[in-house]
Amino acid sequence: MFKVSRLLVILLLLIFGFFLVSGIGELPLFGNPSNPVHKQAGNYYLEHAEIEMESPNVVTAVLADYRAVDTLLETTVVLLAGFAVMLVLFSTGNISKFEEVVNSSYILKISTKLLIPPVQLFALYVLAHGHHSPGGGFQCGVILGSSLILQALVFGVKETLNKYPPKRIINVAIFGVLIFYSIGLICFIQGGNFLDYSQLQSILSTTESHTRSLGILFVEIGVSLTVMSVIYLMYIFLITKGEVNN
Amino acid sequence: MPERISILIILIPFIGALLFPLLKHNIAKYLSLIVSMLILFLAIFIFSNILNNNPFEYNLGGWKRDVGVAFWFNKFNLIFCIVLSSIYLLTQIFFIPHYHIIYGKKLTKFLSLQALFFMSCFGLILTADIFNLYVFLEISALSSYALIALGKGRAYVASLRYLILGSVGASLYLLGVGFLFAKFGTLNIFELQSIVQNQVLGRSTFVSLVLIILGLLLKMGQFPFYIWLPEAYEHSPTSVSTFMAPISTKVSAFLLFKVLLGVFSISQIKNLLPESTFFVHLATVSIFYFGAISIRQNCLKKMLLCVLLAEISYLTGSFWILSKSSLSAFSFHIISDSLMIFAGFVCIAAIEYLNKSSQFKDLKGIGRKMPFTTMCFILALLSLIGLPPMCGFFSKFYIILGAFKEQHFLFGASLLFSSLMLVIATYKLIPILFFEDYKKIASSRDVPLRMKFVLACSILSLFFVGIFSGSLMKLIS
Amino acid sequence: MKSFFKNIILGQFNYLAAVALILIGLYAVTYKRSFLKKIIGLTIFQTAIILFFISIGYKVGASAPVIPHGKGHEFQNFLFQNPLPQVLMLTAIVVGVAVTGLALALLEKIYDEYGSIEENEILEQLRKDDA
Repeated sequence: MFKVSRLLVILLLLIFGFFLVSGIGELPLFGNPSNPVHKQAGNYYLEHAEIEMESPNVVTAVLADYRAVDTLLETTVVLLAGFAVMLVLFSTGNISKFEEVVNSSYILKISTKLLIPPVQLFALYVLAHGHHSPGGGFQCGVILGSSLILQALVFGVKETLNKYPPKRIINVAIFGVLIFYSIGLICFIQGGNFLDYSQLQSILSTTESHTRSLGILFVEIGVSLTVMSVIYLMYIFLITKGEVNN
Repeated sequence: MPERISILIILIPFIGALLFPLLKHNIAKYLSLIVSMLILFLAIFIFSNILNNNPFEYNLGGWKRDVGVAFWFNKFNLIFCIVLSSIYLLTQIFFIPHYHIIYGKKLTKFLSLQALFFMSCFGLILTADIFNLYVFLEISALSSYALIALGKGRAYVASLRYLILGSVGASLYLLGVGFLFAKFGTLNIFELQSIVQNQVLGRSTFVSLVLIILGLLLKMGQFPFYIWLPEAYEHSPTSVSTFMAPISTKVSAFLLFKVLLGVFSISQIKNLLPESTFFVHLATVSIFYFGAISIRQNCLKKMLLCVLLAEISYLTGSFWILSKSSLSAFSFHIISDSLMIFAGFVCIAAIEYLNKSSQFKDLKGIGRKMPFTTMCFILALLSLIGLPPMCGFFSKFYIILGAFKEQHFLFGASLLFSSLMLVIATYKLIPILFFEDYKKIASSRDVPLRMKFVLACSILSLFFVGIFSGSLMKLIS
Repeated sequence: MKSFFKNIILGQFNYLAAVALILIGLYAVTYKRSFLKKIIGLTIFQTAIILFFISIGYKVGASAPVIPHGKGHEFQNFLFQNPLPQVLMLTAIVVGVAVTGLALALLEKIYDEYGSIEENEILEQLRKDDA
């Protein structure tokens, strides 16, 4: 913006760096198990996650139950990015103007056709086992999105656009957030606080911990749908510069 | 009972935002009107309930305060929510019939982004968890970037610049939260307050404080970091800047208040930041600067944006005086300034509706063609100058009183200076508006009835807040 | 003095690494002229903050916060990492990706309009438009 010399910028940054380092000296030592950060909520999560929601993966338990609102808002951020990219880039141009060179060899096409279903199956596995091993909604969504992008890379954008038109895919994204939101809304209507999964117990009629576990699974499904759609949409819109009509 | 439905303030715009893209344009437009009305009634209902009872906390997910996220409802939060939801309602009433002309096919996504922006503002006001605040901050920022980019052309550059600066600001805020988190181990404002109360605060808390302040000042548009603001609001479509300009900067200012004073007490901040008067001097300099350049503007929008930037500096200055009276003045000014800037922008939107431009050279004689609109605009300007009985007078009065009590005479003087500059600008404007001949041949009617209604509401609200300012101040303190 | 430095450099090396990355990212955001490089710098800056946060929750000798089956309730807390910073940073990563996506979309539109992504060239064109 202004013409400043490189030296001035580096000097200012070094001053800022010294300022940050000066604050570091007082922070608790790296790796100490009795740091204050572990005392309040961290240990509570480790001790109670498995008991309260049958989820040995404590990260998923925190993400989808204890701090479910953060996840709902984060999924909304993803959806918002999808809307924003569509709004900014969507133009009325025709996809036939998009010049792409698709000269994938026969081997590539066959092997991709064989590879994509196991990838998607693996993504669903990651989603379903989010409780027991590292995984969950976001990871599943990213893997599914990348399987769609792989299709677009190997078979060409035009063919993929015919199969997955953006107008339908954005509705899938909205539907994902709606799933998450409506689970919370059901809990609210049943008399508890928003996103309090124990209120689903009367509908699902199992133990409370199992109800919470199922609640986590449902919201993760919603999250993965949204992430998958938006990642695919972002790729399509950035590659075609928005000209996605037929 | 109000505790249970209080979360609906966040939930209603959220469900609106999710449903609008799935519906037809007409249904979506009127649904957004209904949504804004519902939020307003809800906010008024909860506020009237809370007047007699204590403030309360809403735990999302049913978990206790530190384990999960909590929202905090108290009197000032709800007053601010009422102001925001009335701005939402008035914007919708004003623009709904001709949204489809402006946006065409993008209408439902625009409504959705608008609803998410408002939801995030309500969330920013209500949340009591500093990381949740960061997520809401990012939602409001992303929706702002997208809404501003709807202006096309130069708006893309303005939006990208806003994006870079806004993300740096939010990340600095996150870094400050990181330092606090590493030192104290909790993210809830009330828990932090109880831990911090009895401790001697050291260097890392100072660093985190400075980082949070830097991040929020960037988002507010305070003096050295205001560069993104004029371009962003000038090139965005009028229907966007009408509701965004009054709100987003004030909410960020309110966050400064919430995070800093929610966790630390005034004396702790004064001990940690002995040079806090630096910010007051910064605010003084910026008020002089913006006052001076507001005269040289040749466009109504730019003039109002200069005034907006000066008003942000009022807020910064009165906050950093850090006394009880100046902080009440700060809170009052947040409310009154949102209303005043909104009234100003609505008048500009009405003028642009018929006139298609708000450059001074295109405004000749408008006062005689659109008398009602121009009167409203003059009244809004008078309120910004500080004429009683409108709210601008009271907010300036309280700020100057708070400044003089703490010996910050130059800051008080700068407020009077900026009023003077605005008087000069208005004085230059009035002849153009009223005494020149109207050269363009256009339709001979004034703006439609609904717009007159909105203008009347916004101006009346200025009077209303002014007249009841005394009781409002008692509530806030 | 010496022990103080030893404390910081050896004991808090994670924070120092994060600060170094922050400075690199901020240098790219402020000094580089191309908007694309600024966006990359922004990503580096956000990643550095994520690194800072995650390293707060580290416990020496602990493993990932996935409690193996059959452990029952008699495990000790210091065997597992703190899950909270990891969860918060999942959110921050996703938000960063969303912002980067939007920034790239805006950049494409700017390139279409102005034919360049260098800030000084774009500013020149804007000044010419103003005049």
